[in-house]
Parts: sequence; structure tokens; C-alpha cells
Amino acid sequence: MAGEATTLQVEAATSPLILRTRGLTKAFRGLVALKDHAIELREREIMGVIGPNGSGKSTFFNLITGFSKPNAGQIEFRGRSIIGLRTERIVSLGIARTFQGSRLFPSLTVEDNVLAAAQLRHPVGPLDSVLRTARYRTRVDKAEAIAERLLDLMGLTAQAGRLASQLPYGDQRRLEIARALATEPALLLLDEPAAGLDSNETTALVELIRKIRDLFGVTVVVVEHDMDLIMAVCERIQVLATGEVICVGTPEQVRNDPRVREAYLGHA
Amino acid sequence: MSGDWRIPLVLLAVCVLAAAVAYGAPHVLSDYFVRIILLIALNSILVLSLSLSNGFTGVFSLGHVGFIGAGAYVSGILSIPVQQKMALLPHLPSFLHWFSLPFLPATVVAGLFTAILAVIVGYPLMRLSGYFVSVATMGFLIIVNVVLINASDFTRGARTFTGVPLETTLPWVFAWLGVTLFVLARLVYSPFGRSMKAVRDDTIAASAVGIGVLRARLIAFVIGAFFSGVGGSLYAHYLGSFSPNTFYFAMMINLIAMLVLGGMESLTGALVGVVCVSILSELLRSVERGFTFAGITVPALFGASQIVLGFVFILIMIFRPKGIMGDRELTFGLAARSARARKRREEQNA
Ligand SMILES: Nc1ncnc2c1ncn2[C@@H]1O[C@H](COP(=O)(O)OP(=O)(O)OP(=O)(O)O)[C@@H](O)[C@H]1O
Ligand SMILES: [Mg+2]
Repeated sequence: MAGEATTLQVEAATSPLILRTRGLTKAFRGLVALKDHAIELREREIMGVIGPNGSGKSTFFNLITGFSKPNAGQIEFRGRSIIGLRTERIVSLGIARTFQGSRLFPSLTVEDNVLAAAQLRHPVGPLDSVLRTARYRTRVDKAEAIAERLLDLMGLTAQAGRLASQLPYGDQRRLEIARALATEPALLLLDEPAAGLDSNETTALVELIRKIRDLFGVTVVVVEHDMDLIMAVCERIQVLATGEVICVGTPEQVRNDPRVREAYLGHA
Repeated sequence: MSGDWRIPLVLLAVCVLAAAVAYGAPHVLSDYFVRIILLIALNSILVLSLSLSNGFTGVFSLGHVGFIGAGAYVSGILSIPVQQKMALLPHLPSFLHWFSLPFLPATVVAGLFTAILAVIVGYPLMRLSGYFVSVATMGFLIIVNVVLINASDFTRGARTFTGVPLETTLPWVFAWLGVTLFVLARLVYSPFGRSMKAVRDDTIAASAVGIGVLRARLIAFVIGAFFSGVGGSLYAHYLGSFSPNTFYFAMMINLIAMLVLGGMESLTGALVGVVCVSILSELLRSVERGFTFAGITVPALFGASQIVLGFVFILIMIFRPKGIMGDRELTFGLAARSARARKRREEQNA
């Protein structure tokens, strides 16, 4: 287990950069939510971002995915700046996310939630839809095949026809991950995926995150308050406190860092 | 989608029935009933055109009547016979004096005109959500009304616009209703329709899965406006004469009520809403004139029909807040499930 983690780490350290931020700063009317943030993510690594409440973790995700614009700094995804791009564009470049507290399409079925994302890579316009062209058929089939596979992976096949809003909470969280994966991302950002899950579900989530990385070759960033999950699944961890990076390292290094203890205890 | 083999048969039967009603009704029924059937079909086109943005995309527009009015006037101006144009609209730009279009092309041009108008109006407005977009589109309706009243070279201003040939017959309205239903059904139940509903449910989650929120809303708005323009043209050729206030708040409230009561997340819901409100208000209207039943004479109570209708609206909203149909479609068991869903169900049963 420990040996496996080290080999992955060595592998990750040599694989190419996928995302790099520098000097990333975001202030909300004087309140600096994120200050001079820098991170380097490599292909296929699983990175944790932790920090007390309000330390800027979600802000970091919102900036990368274009939901809010930074006041300063750079974001490079695969070597190109993505600052100022609209969210749809960033998603189509290969960054997908889930939301803290989950945001499904409540009036759509489980299957339609995933299809709404899967059709990004297999688009059919309004004209194709009205005329039901040959292209329409093949693209719809492809999107459906992807959705079917993802629902199967998440163990949601039996729920496919139910409304997303009727799912138990744990299933909703997995559905949100399935939906994010359906956009075929290279970088997957998970904002508190274990919140509200019981300990069995959290253990299963650790396995699931690894499996997702191995199957799809994605880079995963996990923001989470559940330290057991973070320590179990992440190869590297970045710690934020009041918008600033206070430490980056392996789970072992982070666990033993006095600044991290102080940040957490100071806020407790 | 292999689908259900009964569907083509049912569609064929519906078409035959519609054709029979369209061509046969005027010979069998009184003018009054023919008029009611025609207005139900015509209002169905208008309410359906509204459902695309208001129901399926979550952009609650109060401005579609502006498109209906614009479509009515555009089609009217294009189709007044050349001999009458000079007399009725002497200040029209001269190139519009030279020709007059038959009903069908005039209707298509009216639809295209309102679609282009919707692109221009929608581009800024579709960024708004919730009641902001409702109020803003209502502003558009008011602007259209003021323009119609003041562009008197084209519209005769507040005076009655007249001379439009009465060509809106049952077959025409049924044919356009068929086209509207066909296009909207294919759109709503396609990946594009799924994007519209995703945008309605949660714009943030929609953009997080790569859906262009503005694009989806704009397309829904523009296609809806096209059919509003078409409906406006049909209205113009049904009434023959009208004024800017024909296409104003009273019509807007009527259409919105039909849409909301029937269920705005369902195409057949829109139809159910139109049929229920139309029939109910006709029934109430005949009752309020007073009648004698089994020796009891009920005196005329003018205005009572409006009150009863108002109460019915309130009751439906209390007991079925998502309208009579909600988001379900009337399918009579046909095509209720896609082939895929059926397969899944069979697998589960096995
Ligand atoms: N849209 C906003 N407007 C104003 N302030 C905001 C906004 N979004 C975040 N903030 C503030 O920025 C700071 C960082 O918030 P952020 O959501 O990034 O924290 P977080 O690390 O995700 O916290 P949590 O663990 O509670 O989710 C907080 O003080 C928060 O109140
Ligand atoms: Mg957060």
C-alpha cells in the first residue's frame, strides 16, 4: 500500500504538467478569499486541497472553472491560459467539477443528468434534432453508450429512470461525479465529495476515486474536510488557510507540519 | 429508436381525423362551433410557442404577444391586395406598394421577421433570469405596442388596421398546428431539449457540464418567436381587421393562463390548457346570459363568468401548482417510454 503510493508518486512527478496557477488572487469587496495562490498539477495525480472553512478552497475551483474571474494571477491548463474563458469553453477543454453540496438537475432523470453532460462531446444542434439526421442517430447513440457505462460504474443503472431529486443523498453525490465524468475531462475537481456520506460510503468513495483515475487517466483534485479520506486517497496535499497556501507535500509531511496544526487549531 | 409500431398508425389516424374535422366541420357544425374549434387550434399554436421558453427553458417571457402583434402586422402589410394598399396605407414605402404576398409566404415571412426580432431582443435579455427576464420582456411588449401605434405609415396607428384577406380556415390552422407540434416535440425530446431543461433547472450546473446557457435560451426564445409570428399572421388573416391593442396585455394574460393551467413543462399540457380554458369560458359565457332550467329561471349575471374562471384558476394553482398535466405528456400509453427505457424495464423484470 505504502509502496504503491510511492511508485505512483514517482511516476506522477515525471508526468507532464496539466494545470499551473501563479499569483492567483481573488477578493470579494475587500475580503481576500484567495491570495497569491500557486499550484502545479501533473497528469494522473490525485491531489488534495484542505483548509479550514472559508480558506478559499471553493474559490480556487470557481476561478479555475471560470465561474468567477481572478483579480490577478495566471491559470494555465495544458500550457495555455484559460483566464477569461467562459465556463462552457473551459469544460470543453477538459476540466470538470462537482459542487459543494451537489447541484443536479432535479427535474431530469438520473440518466438524463448524465446525458446532458455526455452530449457535450457528441453534440446535435436543433436542426439535427428536428430533421433526425443520420448524424443525430449516431451521436445520440454514442452519448447513450457513455451514459450507460458511467451509470454502471457508479452502480446507478437500476435508478436510471428515477428523477435525480428522488435519489438518496449518497447516490446523488455519485451521480454528480458520473455527470462530471461524462464531459470526458482530463482534470476532475471534486468539492467535498464525502460531505454527508456515512463511513461505509466514504470508504467506497476512496476506492471509486482511485478507480476513476486508473480507468480514465484523469487528474483529480479533492477538496475535503474528511481527513481520513484525504489521507487515504491523495498522493499530495496542499493546505490553505485564510486564502494562502501554507504547505504542500505528501500526506505524511502535511500531517506532521506544525503550521497545519496551528491553522486548524487556531480556527477550531 | 425502433419505437412502438402503433405510433405511425396513431399519427396517421390523428391526421385523418384532423383533416376530416378541418374540411367537414364547416358543413356539419354551426359557425359558432367552427369558430371555437379554430380559436382553440390557433391559441394552441400561440401557447405552444410560449411553452418553449417559458416552460422548457425556464425563461418566463411576458413579451411573446409582442411577437404575435409584430407577426400580425407584418403579414397584414404584405398581404393586403395591391389595389387597396394605396388607399389604406398611402405612406407605405413604395416598394411595399408594388406587390402583395399570398397567405403562406406572408405567414412564413412574418415568422422569420419575428425570429430575427427575437435574436436582437433576446441577445441582451437572455442573460437575465427569473422575474428580471419577465419584466424585461414585458418591456419589449410595451415597446412593440408603442411602435405599432406610432409607426402609422405602416400600421395606421391606433386606428383599425383593415383589409387583410380572411384566409385563416380550419385546414390552414390545423396544418400549422401540426407543424408546430412536430417541430417542438422533436426539439423538446432531443438532446437539445435536454439542454434546455438543464438550463431551466440550474444554470450553474448547466454551464459546468458545458452547456451554453445563453445559446440554449436564445434558440428556445427565437424558435418560439417564429411560431408566435406565424400565429400572429394566422390571427391577422382570421380577424381581417385589428388594432395594436388587440395584441396587448389582455391577450398576454389569456395565453399565460392557458399555459400555466395546462402545465407548462408539457406540450400536451399546453393543449389541455387551451382546450379547458376555451371551453370553460364559452360555457360560462352562455350561462351568464341567464337561462331557464326545470322551471327555475337564472337571471343574467354579466361578469360572473370572469369571476368563476378566476376561481377555477386559483383552485388549480392550489391543487395542481404545476398545472393540470405538470411535466407529463398525454400519450395514452403510446411511446410513454423510449425503446431504451422499455429494454431496461424488461431486463429488470427478467
Ligand atoms: N461570492 C462571494 N461573495 C462574497 N464572499 C465570498 C463569495 N464566495 C466566497 N466568499 C468568501 O470567500 C472566503 C472563501 O470562501 P470559500 O467558499 O472559497 O471557502 P472554502 O474554503 O470553500 O470553505 P468551506 O470549507 O466552508 O467550503 C469566505 O470568507 C467566503 O465567505
Ligand atoms: Mg467550499
